[in-house]
Order: sequence, then C-alpha cells, then structure tokens
Amino acid sequence: MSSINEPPEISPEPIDEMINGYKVSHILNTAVEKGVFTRLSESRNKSAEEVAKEIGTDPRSTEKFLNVLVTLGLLARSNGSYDNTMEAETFLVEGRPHYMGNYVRMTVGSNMLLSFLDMVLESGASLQDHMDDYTFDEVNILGCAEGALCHELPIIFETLKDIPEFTGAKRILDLGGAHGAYSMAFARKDSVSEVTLFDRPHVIEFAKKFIARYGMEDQIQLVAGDATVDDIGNGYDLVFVSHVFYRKEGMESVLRKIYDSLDDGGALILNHWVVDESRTGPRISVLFDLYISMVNRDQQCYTVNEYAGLLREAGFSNIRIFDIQTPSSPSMIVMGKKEALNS
Amino acid sequence: MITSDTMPGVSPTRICGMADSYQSFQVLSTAVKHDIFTVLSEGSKSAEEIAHEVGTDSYITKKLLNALVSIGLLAKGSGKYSNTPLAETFLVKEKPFYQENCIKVAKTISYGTSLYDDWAKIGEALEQGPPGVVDWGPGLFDESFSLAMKEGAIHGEVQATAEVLSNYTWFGNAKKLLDLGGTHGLYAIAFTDKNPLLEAVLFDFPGVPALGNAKKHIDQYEMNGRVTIQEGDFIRGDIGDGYDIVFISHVYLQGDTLDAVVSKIHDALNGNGRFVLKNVVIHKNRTEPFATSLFDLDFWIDENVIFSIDEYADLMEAHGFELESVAKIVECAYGPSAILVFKKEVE
Repeated sequence: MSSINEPPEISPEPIDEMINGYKVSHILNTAVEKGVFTRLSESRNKSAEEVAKEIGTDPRSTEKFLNVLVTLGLLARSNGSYDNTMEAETFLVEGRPHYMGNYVRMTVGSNMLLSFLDMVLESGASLQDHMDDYTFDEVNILGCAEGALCHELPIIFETLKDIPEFTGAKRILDLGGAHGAYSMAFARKDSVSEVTLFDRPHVIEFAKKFIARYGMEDQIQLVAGDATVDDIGNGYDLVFVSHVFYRKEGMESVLRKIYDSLDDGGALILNHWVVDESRTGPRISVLFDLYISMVNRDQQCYTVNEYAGLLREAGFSNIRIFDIQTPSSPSMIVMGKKEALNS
Repeated sequence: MITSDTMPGVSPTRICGMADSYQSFQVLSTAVKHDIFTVLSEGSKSAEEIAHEVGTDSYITKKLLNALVSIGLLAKGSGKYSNTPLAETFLVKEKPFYQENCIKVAKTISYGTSLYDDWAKIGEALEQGPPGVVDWGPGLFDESFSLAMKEGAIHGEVQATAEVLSNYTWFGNAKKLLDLGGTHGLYAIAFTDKNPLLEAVLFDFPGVPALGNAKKHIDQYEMNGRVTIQEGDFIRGDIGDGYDIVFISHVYLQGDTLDAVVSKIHDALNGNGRFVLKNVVIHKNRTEPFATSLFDLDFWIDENVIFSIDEYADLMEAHGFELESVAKIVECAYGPSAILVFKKEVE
C-alpha cells in the first residue's frame, strides 16, 4: 500500500478545468440570454440589485453571478457597481456590429445534442429521427452570420485578395449562403455584377430579413431550392460554398453540378471546418464531427485532402488550399478552377 | 455595415472559447460513465474492441475516442487508442486517484442543496433564487457527494495540507486531534501518518462516515486504533474535549451556526491548542479568484458562507482565537484554499 502522503505525480488541473468549462459555457449563455451586457450598455454602472430587477432575477444570487462574470473578464466592478469590459461591449451587446450573442447561444445550444451522447452510444440511434429541423432556426442562422462576420469573412477576403478568380469574378453564386453575409460582402465589390444566394426555402426567408437589415435586398438575387435536385443556374465566374458540405452522400453529383454551372475559367471556393488526417484534431472540428454524426450518420467533417480529392474527381484543376484556422474556427479554404477546354 | 474590412478591435477568441468549453466535459463525463479509460488501462485497443467491451455503438464510439484524443485524455497510434498519463492517473476505476464521483456531481449546482440539478439550468435557478432554508446536517450528503469529497481531497489536497502542518512545531508535539466533519477520514489518516505520536478522532453526522467509506480508509492505510470514528451532531450536540488540535476542512457555515460550532471547538481544545481551519477563501472584493467566485455562486443559499482571510480572523477573534499562521494551498478542486491556524489563548 502506498503512503497516503504521496500525491499524484501529475496535476489533475486539466480535469478541473474541463469541469469548470461546463459551468462557464452555461454562465456565459445565461448572461447573454438574459441580456445582462445589453442592459449594462444602455446605462453604465449598475448595482447587482438594479441588474436583477431589470432581468427579473433574485438579487443575492445575481450579485454572485455578476461576480463570476467579473472573474471571467466580461464585467468590471468598482464601488459595488458593474460595467461591461471592452470584450463584452464589443461582442455581447445586442445591435453592435460585432454582436455574437446568437453565436454563443448556437454554440452552447449544441450542449443539448451532446447530452444525448450516452443514449446514442448505447442505442446507435440518430438524433434527427427524434427532433425537428434543429439546425436552422433563427438563433442558428444568426449565429452562423455572427461567426462569419466576426472571424471568417474578413480573413477570407484578406486571404484571397490577390487571387484573380476571386477578385475578378463578376457573376457569383453563394451556394447554401444562409444568412447572406457573404453575398452582401460580394455585392459590395465594384467588380461584381450579379450575386445569387441559393438556399432551402425556409432559410431564404431568414436571409431576406437579414439582408433587409442592411438595405441590400435589391443587390442580391434570392433563389430557393435544394441543390441536390434543383437547377442552380449557370454562367457563374465564382461559386462560393461556406459550411455546407458536411454530408457524405451526393457530394460527387453536387460538385459536378457546380462544375457545370461555372463558365470556363471560373472557380469554386469551399470554406469549411476540417479535421486532421488522423481525425483527432483540432478539438473544435473533432467535437463538431462527433455531434453532427450523432444527429445523422450521413454527416461528417472532412479532411482538407478529401475536399481536394472530391474537387479533382468533379473535374476541377489547379487545386489550391489556404489555411485560415484559428482556435475557435478551424476552417480551411479549398479552391478549384474550371479550365477552358481548348486553352 | 457589411464590408470586408471590419475586423473587430479586440479578438473574439476568448468568448468563443468560453462558449465551447462545455464540450470537453460532456465528452469526459460520458467516457467515464462507460468505463472507457478503465478498459484501456489494460493496454491499447482499437475502436471496435473498445465498443465491444463496453457495449456501445462502434461508429459513434470511434468518433468519441477521437474527441477524447483531441482533449488530451487518449493517445492514438497505429489505429489503437491508449490512455494518456492524465487519464490513467485520474480516470481508471480502482486507482487511488480515481475521480468518478467528482465528475458525476460536477454538473450539479450547489452540492445537493438545490432544486436545480444541472448547471445548464443556471438561468432558471437565478430567476427562482435560493431554494430556502438549508438544513445543515446529514441531509446535505449522499453517497456520490461524500465520495466526491474524498476524491477531491486525495488528488493532492490531503498531501499538501499534511505537509504544511508537519512543518509546525506544535503539530509534532500534538497527541490528540479532532477531524470535525471529516466524512472520509483521509485528513485524520494523513496527519497520524505524519506524526507517529498522534491519535485522531473522525467526528461526523451519523451515517456520513459510512457514506464516505471512512472505515475502509482506516483499514486500507492501517490506522486502526490510531484513528477512530465518532458519530454525532456537531452543530447541536457535544463534540468532546481534551484535544490539542481541532481540524476542519471545507465545512461552510455562517451566522449562529458558525458561532455555535466555533464556540464548541474552543471548549474542546486544551490550553494553547490549535484550531486549524482549511476552507476556500475569497478576496475581500468577492471577484477574485475565478474558481472561488464560481464556488460562491454554487452555494445556492441566501447568506455568504465563503469568507476572506481577514473576515475569518475577525469571526474567530470574537471566540477567543488568535490567528497564528496562514498558508495558501492551490491543490484544491474547489479553488485556492487557506490553512488558517488559530491558537486558543490561555485564560
């Protein structure tokens, strides 16, 4: 028997951090859902009691709750009153250009999916059989839009700024463009003459509202349909697909359809979260792969080489890969060109 | 305005990290529940072998195993998975530092005193407020909670505490120690292990030492005769006397209850005896450190039960205790703790 006074050789801290992480996500999500940061932005420096009154919570518990938000660096406290930090003011106040409240709610909302992990492991069931169209409610679409605006769209435009197929494109198809953030960014480019946003009918309804917020409804053509069966148009210089191709079935035919819709010299640009060759990293992609697989076994996260292979099979050449991975958004861009046949 | 050049002035990375930080724990707790780390303790295995042994769906099991690699709990090589040292040390059944119950109760708000079972319901809990008067006593405990206390103590805190005390001269001279509210008895055992002259009494509510496996621990560390168990109500009843040291660890009381217990402790000590209090402590502004503010919120009751060091000093001074020394320890699952030594002033 080892002595009781021998401590473990390694620290349990990473496990304690995982335990606390569960609480942190729910605390952040609750603060967002209750509009704590938005209230504090409207009139600065409120006491816990004032905040509690406005959000309809118990004052004593609210003070403890706000203190946790202080230790997380989202609020500051002085003389018993609370104020947003720069981070909270930038990302967590509704109506701000970089508001990410829906992104937070969407991300923490997937906790519900992972709560079924036990059940799925034991039964092998697919969650999709047990739920209505989870993926595309308003919180999720706005969450995707906020994710795009805060950490992907600017990086993608910066990364591709010297790529002629990207900068010179006149007719662009934003396939599965959901919220339309990318469509709007394309439409604002002087070189672009026509932007089409194609998505499923109920998603197009959200897109309409979102695009109207920015007064750009006249500059984007909205087309409702299912890309696997319906016509997606033709004569495009660029087809852009962001966070859409996480399916196994039907990829070949959709990519072939995209190839056919492009003019000679046109290009396809994919932007997706990818897993490493070992499929054991990065963490965000692997966890995403786990829970979309739980929803439906036809869904998965690809490796960048798998996307490149699919593009080649569909006829694309000059495949290029751009690494834009960040810890919270492990995306890579895969680009393929449709060469002119007799060039 | 949507343009391609409106990067925010600060990075969203930290907030994104907070939003997705629940994921690792969900994966960890499911894997523990299905004994995946215990099965892998025997050697590396393929996803199919593991799924077969633990009786789970092999397709999703493989995805889960990859997720466990991505969070540092497993390693993968040649298509086989194995435990990392972190998992092997803390997540394998029957190993001394196994954390099963800590992980099991971690999703729960307020250690069993709350109506709200899952931290995911923190918003609902905030609306409703505290569930009312908490019955301090055995009602607070169940088996998982008691075992979680033991697991939280053994993975570094017991050893760090015994090491701190063993450096004090009065500890080496002590003959009789009372481990008040000690549940599992590990502190009493560790102290008697450090001081060969010491005998210790583990005192807790009737039934609690059994929930905490105290007898088993006394046998396991061969402390029969030197560590004994006494059951009673240390809030309303008698706790005995003639002690050189009274030790309490992570017992959180306030108001009249705290006064009653401290006064009893004072009476139980010999002249020049030491009252050693080891609890999580918070800064006076109550917003530092992080783990403690979380622990404070977690105590789903109306009054403060987490104090700063100076608040403890004032509380104890009123009972004739003088703060003699302070040692902070970080090896604590609930946040940085302080070992506060109070000396009973000879009248």
